Amino acid sequence: MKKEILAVENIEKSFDGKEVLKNISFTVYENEFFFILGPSGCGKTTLLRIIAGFTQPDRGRVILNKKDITNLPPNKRNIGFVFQNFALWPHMKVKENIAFGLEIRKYPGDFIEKKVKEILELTKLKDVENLYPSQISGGQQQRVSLARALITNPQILLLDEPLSNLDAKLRDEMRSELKRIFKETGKTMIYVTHDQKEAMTLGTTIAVMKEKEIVQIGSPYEIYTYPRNFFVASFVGDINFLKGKIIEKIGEILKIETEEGLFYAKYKRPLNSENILFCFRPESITNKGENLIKGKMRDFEFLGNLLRLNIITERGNLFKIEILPKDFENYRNGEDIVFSIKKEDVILLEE
Amino acid sequence: MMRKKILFFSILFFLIYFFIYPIFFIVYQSFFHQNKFTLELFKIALTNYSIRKSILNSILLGIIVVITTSIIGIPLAFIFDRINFKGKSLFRILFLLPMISSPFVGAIGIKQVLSRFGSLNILLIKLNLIKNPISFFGSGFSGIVILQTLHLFPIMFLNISSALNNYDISVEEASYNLGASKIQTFLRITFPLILPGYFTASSIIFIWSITDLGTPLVFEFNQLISVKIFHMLKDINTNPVGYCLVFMILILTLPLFIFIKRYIEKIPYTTDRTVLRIVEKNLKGKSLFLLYFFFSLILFFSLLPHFSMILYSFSKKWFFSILPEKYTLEYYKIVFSHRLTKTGILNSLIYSSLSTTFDIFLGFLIGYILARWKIRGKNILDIISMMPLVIPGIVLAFGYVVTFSNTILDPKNNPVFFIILSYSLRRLPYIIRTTYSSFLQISENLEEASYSLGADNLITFKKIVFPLVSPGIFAGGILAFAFSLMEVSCSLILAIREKFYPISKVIYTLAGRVTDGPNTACSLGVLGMIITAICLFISTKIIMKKIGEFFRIG
Repeated sequence: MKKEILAVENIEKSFDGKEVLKNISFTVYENEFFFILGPSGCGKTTLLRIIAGFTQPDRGRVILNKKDITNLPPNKRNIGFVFQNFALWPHMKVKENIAFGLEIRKYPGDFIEKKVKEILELTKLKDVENLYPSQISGGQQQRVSLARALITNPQILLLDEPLSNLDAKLRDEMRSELKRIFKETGKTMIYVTHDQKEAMTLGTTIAVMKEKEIVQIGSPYEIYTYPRNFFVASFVGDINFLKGKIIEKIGEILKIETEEGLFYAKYKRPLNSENILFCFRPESITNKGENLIKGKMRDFEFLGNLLRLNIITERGNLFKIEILPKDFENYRNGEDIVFSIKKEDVILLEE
Repeated sequence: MMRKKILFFSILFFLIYFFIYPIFFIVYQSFFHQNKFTLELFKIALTNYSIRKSILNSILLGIIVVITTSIIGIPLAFIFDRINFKGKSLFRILFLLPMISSPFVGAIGIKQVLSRFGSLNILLIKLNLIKNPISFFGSGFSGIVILQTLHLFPIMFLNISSALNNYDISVEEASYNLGASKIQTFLRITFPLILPGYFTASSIIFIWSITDLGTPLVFEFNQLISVKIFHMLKDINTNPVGYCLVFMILILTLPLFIFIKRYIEKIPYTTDRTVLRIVEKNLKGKSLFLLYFFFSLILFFSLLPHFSMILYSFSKKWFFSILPEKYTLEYYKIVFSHRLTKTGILNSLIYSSLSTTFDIFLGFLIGYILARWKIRGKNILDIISMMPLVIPGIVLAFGYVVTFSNTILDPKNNPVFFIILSYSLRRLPYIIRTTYSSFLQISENLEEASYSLGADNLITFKKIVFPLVSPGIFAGGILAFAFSLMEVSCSLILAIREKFYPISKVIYTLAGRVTDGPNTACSLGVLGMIITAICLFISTKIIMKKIGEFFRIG
């Protein structure tokens, strides 16, 4: 049985009459790297600020280690927070920024020194400890804000889009840094982002948000393979879709009628309607088998490891597929490109 | 929450009682006689030739000074914005110097140089360029225009500079890129972008000009509203026309304030992004020489009042000669030994330090509330606390005298409370704005980061908030101190008895004495100027920012 660290129950919040969070509930377990993923403006930062105590919810509760902390001020919560803009105090040196939390807790000086040393080591900041925030690089500032939040050993660490202020290369670097620090400290973390790549590569659990609500919670694999609706499906990756209708059910196999002909799918999730979207990911195709689709290649993008083709059918439907460059010839059939989608790789979504 | 509300409403009540109420009282008195509505006072005022003339003169004065300051200030701002040249930062400071002493002190000095038998006329006659002396000041009106222009053009310069600084140069490049000419770009892009700044600067200058009391008094030019109000205050009970004159001043100034608040500040021209401005044009050789010449000319004239004041303060004999015949330190000795000057200096120091302390305290509190609290009625506090920017000193002082006469606070018995209060209220908006913008610059995240690490309100304030905002506040405080020290309008009106005189009223009194009065007045003026300059210097060192921010409205 996994240990519950944080639970959010039925949180609702409005600003000036505009609802930003609606009936938000979820549980975060020990050692989880919990992601809240959603487009900008969906309320995810507000949710994080409610957990940290900077904002009060209109309704609902926040439970930390089985204790209701909804009305506890932020400074009594022992929840770490890494800000999007880092929020480093410009008048304090790196090491003073980091030591702050321990000084507040009135630890003895030598203990603080030892702890700061440890955390500087962990975050690789030894060289800049005596500099001011304005004198160090963006990546280093990011580490300082992480170190500052980690040093008090908070029960849970909240990160608000921590990588969005870094350039692309640094972002990749910091992503693996974060993964390492997460592994080494074993800290439970909640991470808010709009970047599906961050969520997919780092997260153990992802909660996808859309306009003030959580749409789906699951592991990255679940979210990607069994999205609950089209929003989730398209938010976590590219997807092709075709309108269709279930006309027959033979055991586990569904027979679907679409513009492009009859298709078969093996899909475990229950569906409430027979009007559905027949979907598949660009990479989950083969060159022969069932569910064949034929079309002309409109154009292509060379991605290095993969070749992405945009295929247009006679009826004018457009599909993106991704194949290995060396396999290209296998998909050609004269002027046309032909590909197949395995029954198991089909994703069916309600319209 | 309850404690917050009590504090909030106490501040609001204080400001309403000591700031809004006196103004309201004046408005009431100008429309109601023995509790009956009447327009009689306005009829008297507008049918009286002398008063009508004064109103027109005041408006004319304001408009002329706006134009003259624009002519000097706008080109200067563009030169500093667009061209690189040696000594740029030095000149930037030099062009602020005219602001460090109030024009009425300079007027005493410059009269020596530009009057009918002053240095310039004597020089011109000796050179046989003219036969009869030229009257530079005319009836005094042109003297006021000259002095005010020389004193106020830096405000135009600063505001236009900061307006230019507020937008990215690429907006102009984009215009050129799309084929617009220089003139088109100026008319369609640059001009609209600096218009809000220009309007604001013009308003400040206009209001300043029509409510200036010291300069017209020194030139003995009485046909202005401000002077009329000053003289009418003495017998306001028998002749209440003064009320409606003050009301007319409000009519001229308040709409500008409302316009700025409602429209100018709402214009979302400024960007959050860091503004890119690369100055590429370097000036060398002949054109640089021309520029220096142009600059020196402006500086010479704008510092002429100060130079002549300094010269006058050292001169033993200076009648009908170009320069003084003899020099002496005598008047500085008098400044430090004469009873009146000693009292004045001491009083000013006391008034200014107390008002500055109060300013910092109240300004910090209001700035914090405006930046951080979410509380109903915040808008009202914002508006009221910014209003002193456009409520002229004479209106405020007049209001105190009439509203609180025959109460325990009666300024005619002991004006100390109201002098300090008026000093603080007039500088309050600047302090509030400094605090407010410091708080806005400090992301709220910095405080939240501290809370999330377990710090409470007090520790967060002590360790995070205060160290970050205090340099700005401290610098603002020093400036407030310097300006209070040489404050004119309120001091002239409120300090009636000699033992309460602050420096400016002492200078005014001395200037009116025949023998060595003006010399001593100048020495005292020089002293004040030095203190102001030191304060300015220190505060710019502290904030390391453009001093201009203190002279912008809104």
